[in-house]
Amino acid sequence: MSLLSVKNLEVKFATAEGEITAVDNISFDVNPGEVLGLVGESGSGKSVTARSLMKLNADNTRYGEGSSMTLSADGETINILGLRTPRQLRKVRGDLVSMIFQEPMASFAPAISIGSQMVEQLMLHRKMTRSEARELSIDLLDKVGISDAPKRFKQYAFELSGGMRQRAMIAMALSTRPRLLIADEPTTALDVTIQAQVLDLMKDIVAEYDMGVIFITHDLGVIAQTADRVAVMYLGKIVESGPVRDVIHNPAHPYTQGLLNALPKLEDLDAPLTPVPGDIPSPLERPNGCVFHTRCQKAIEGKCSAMEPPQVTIRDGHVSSCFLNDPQNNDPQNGDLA
Amino acid sequence: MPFFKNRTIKKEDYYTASQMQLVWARFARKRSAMVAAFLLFFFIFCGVFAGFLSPYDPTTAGRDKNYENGAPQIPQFCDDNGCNWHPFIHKVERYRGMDTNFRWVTRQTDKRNYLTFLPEVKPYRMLGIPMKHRLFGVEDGFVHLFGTDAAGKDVFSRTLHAIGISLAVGTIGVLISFVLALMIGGVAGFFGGWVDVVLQALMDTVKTTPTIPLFMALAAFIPDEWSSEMRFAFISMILGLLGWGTLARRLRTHVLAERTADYVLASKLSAAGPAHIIRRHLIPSFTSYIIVDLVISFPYMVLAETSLSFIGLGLKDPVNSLGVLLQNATKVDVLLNYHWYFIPVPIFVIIVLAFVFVGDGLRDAADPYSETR
Amino acid sequence: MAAFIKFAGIRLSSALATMLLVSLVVFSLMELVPGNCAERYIAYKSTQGQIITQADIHAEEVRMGLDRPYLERWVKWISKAIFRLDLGESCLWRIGVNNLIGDKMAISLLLSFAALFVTYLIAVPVGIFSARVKDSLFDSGLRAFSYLGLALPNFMLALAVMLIGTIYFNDTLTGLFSEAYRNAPWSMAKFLDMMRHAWLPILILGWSATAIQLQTVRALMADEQSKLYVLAARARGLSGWSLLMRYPARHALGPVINSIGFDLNRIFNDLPIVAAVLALTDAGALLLDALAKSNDQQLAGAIILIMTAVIVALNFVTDLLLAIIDPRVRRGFF
Repeated sequence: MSLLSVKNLEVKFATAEGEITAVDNISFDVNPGEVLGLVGESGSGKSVTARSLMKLNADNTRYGEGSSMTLSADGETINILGLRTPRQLRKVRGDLVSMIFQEPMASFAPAISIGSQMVEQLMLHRKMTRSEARELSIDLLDKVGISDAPKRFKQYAFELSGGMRQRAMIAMALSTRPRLLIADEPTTALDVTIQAQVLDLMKDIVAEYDMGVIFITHDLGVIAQTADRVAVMYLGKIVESGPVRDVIHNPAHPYTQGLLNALPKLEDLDAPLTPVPGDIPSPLERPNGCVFHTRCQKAIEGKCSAMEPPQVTIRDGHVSSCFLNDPQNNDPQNGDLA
Repeated sequence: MPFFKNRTIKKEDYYTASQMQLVWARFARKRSAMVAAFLLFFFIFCGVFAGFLSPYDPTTAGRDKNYENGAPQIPQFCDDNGCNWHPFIHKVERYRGMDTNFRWVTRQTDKRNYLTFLPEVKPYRMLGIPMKHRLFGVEDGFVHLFGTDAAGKDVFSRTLHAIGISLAVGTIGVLISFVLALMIGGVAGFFGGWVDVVLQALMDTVKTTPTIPLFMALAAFIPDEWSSEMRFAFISMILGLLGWGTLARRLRTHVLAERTADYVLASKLSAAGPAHIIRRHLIPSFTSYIIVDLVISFPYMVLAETSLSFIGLGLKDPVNSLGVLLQNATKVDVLLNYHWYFIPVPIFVIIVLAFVFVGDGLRDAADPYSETR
Repeated sequence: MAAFIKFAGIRLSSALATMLLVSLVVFSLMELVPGNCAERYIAYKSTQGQIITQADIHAEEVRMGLDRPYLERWVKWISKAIFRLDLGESCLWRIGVNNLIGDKMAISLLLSFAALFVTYLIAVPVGIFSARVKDSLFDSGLRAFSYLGLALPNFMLALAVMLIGTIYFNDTLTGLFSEAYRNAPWSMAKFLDMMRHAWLPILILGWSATAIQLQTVRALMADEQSKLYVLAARARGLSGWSLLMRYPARHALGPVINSIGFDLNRIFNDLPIVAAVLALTDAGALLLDALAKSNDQQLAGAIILIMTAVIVALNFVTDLLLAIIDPRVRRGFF
């Protein structure tokens, strides 16, 4: 049984300009010990998806009728959307589920010491005395590779370096031994060398703790390094998903192909970079049919703009939503089907 | 600029509109700010053309000897003798007799006194232009919409002139403080280093001292024999001289931030001189902030003048301002019997509110990120 | 701790420097007032029927030290004020300023600090509460109230209250003491009598400051609430009041503390005018009298100096408070 099961998740925001669809009918599973990468440009709905898992979105959020999110851990099954009171929500906020944010500097309260914030979380979720929580926190800081942990424990976020802060953030997220860790672009704000260190640390921890991880990033390179499976999001939809190597070596959806072509290739430095043309449309002007058709160079006229493409299984667990992948599609352009 | 009216703004229009157009577009969308702007223009109009709009001279020259501390007279269309399309008031007369213990009183008669439009009056000057007509008057004697004060001066005329004077004092004060703030704040921000330290200490000092006592101390210099015009000029100057602290600090911060901005570095790297940088980059980058700050600091100037005049240290009698009008209002006699002395108060509250709303609207409109909120 | 002492030292010296600069400004202002103390005193004597010559004026100037150079007199004035707490002699009353203003200054400071206290007592809880209720009606009410605080200055509010008082209660609500205590020596009963009258001046002095501070606290709370660390704290399971007080409110406190000195300045500004309207017999009225009527430079200068000194001292205290609650200030991060 999978750790997390998301079915037909739909998230809308009620705004002055009308209802905005941020996440449109997506489904995915995460198994214990598995890293699921969520990839997409900014505005693709990956952060909203992550925040939905903890019901952290703003007050104007509406979840779709048929949406369901269930977390099964330690023999109990939790219906996340059914959690209402702060006490119920605490189960998925910092207890069974933890989140790491993009900017470690901004996600620590500036005037409260790091140790105090860690102890606070532990005492909220675990029956612990202050000194036990303190001891555990210092151990964890030490474990994530922060030297002189007892001193760092008393310090404030502004006194730590960027990489150190993100390590502390990871230590804090791990302190309650959550079953699911959500990492929202955890390395984007870091230098490349620090980024590699933090990624290594995260890999070690996932292996040791045997927890499920949702790793959000816009960087396919990072995904290739860390994830077991990947889901590519565009305008609130998962357009392609599958085992990470399969998706990267044999991308089926034109959007995934575009993202990969936009990456620089170290083996052929003279190869031109081909960006995905155009801009991501405003959420107020969601295209009909296939959401990607406005930027797709292989769009089938009259078809992609009118009908939603079906989900096509390419290979074991590798799914793509595109007419071009559909064997029943008799279009002559169907040549590059994998 | 029709495209601001409807919401289907074409992207290209949006990207090519000038900053002022964008500010205006955002401003026009806020109803409260638009109403306030309309009111503000109305009152500025009243103040500027006070001479023509008010029926009498606001000084003792225009006083009504027979109607001292008189109640407001509201033009009416009907009385016991029937109705008339022509608005009128009732005449008053001075009377003394047995029933009043032989003291003079002013009482209303039932004789009608019709309002006139554009009556010819004693020649006067408005903004230096010789004039012969006022907007309205009555056939015979006086009409006092807001009543009269103890000397028989028309409160309505005084109020209109007071609006003009207060706006003028505010304008001069704001301009002086603006020039000072621009020089001091700009220099401190642009040069930095010890210049900045010294000027900042100066700004701190000016900010720390309570302003009104300082105003009072400065205003106490004014010799009694000065003419009202000199007094007026001096008071406006004092307001300006003490009001630059906050604006200068904001400008300093802004210049400091912009000076180290990447685009300024870029223009330095392409060998642009300081004059070019100031003219082409720094000044355009904060004009909108300056305008907003000026509008926001305006009511403070007006209120400071009002306070000063109210306690007798600011403008004095032949010149009218709200403070001057309210000078006698604390007397028990006035509080009990002559409530029309307070008619100017709500008017001034509305003017200041209008300024605040317009300033707020402009600030929101000038902030390019306000739209996402 | 060492960093804190260093911080306090820097702040203290800058406060002293500001104080010196302010005293110079105040002293120069008083110097600029036409005529000096000696002339005024002699002129007063001449009204008593004595014949005064230029030599008499000069002799008086020498006696008072007014013939000394300007800077020397300033140094003497300020050093006497600092080291002996002696603010000189009133031009008009011919007695020490200390005696003249002693208890009146105390009354003024009492009123001002009470007004300051009321301001924060109202503004901080209501401001924090407004962050909790996201009700647009409450919000716009708050907004209208703070705009009115600016547009209806304290003395006009005082006038309005007096107007209502005379019409409906037949009492102008002015003054600080009842008839019986006006000239009585200080006693518990007199103090209590004053407190019975003081509520109106306190509320009126605090009016503008409260209105503006409310808006500030509300804006600060809204600002802090939208920050990422609040979302991160929610993601760790915090919620409700404990989240609000420990995160946004705690971090909005810094700027609020920072503005206390500024609000005291605002209240001092209104002191003489409110005193005039409400017929108070405190230092504000004395200052008004010294400036508007008797032209008593020594007295006016002394009062302004005390007011400024209180503001500078309060600013120093709030700086220290700020350092205590905010580690970034304490450890010299900015």
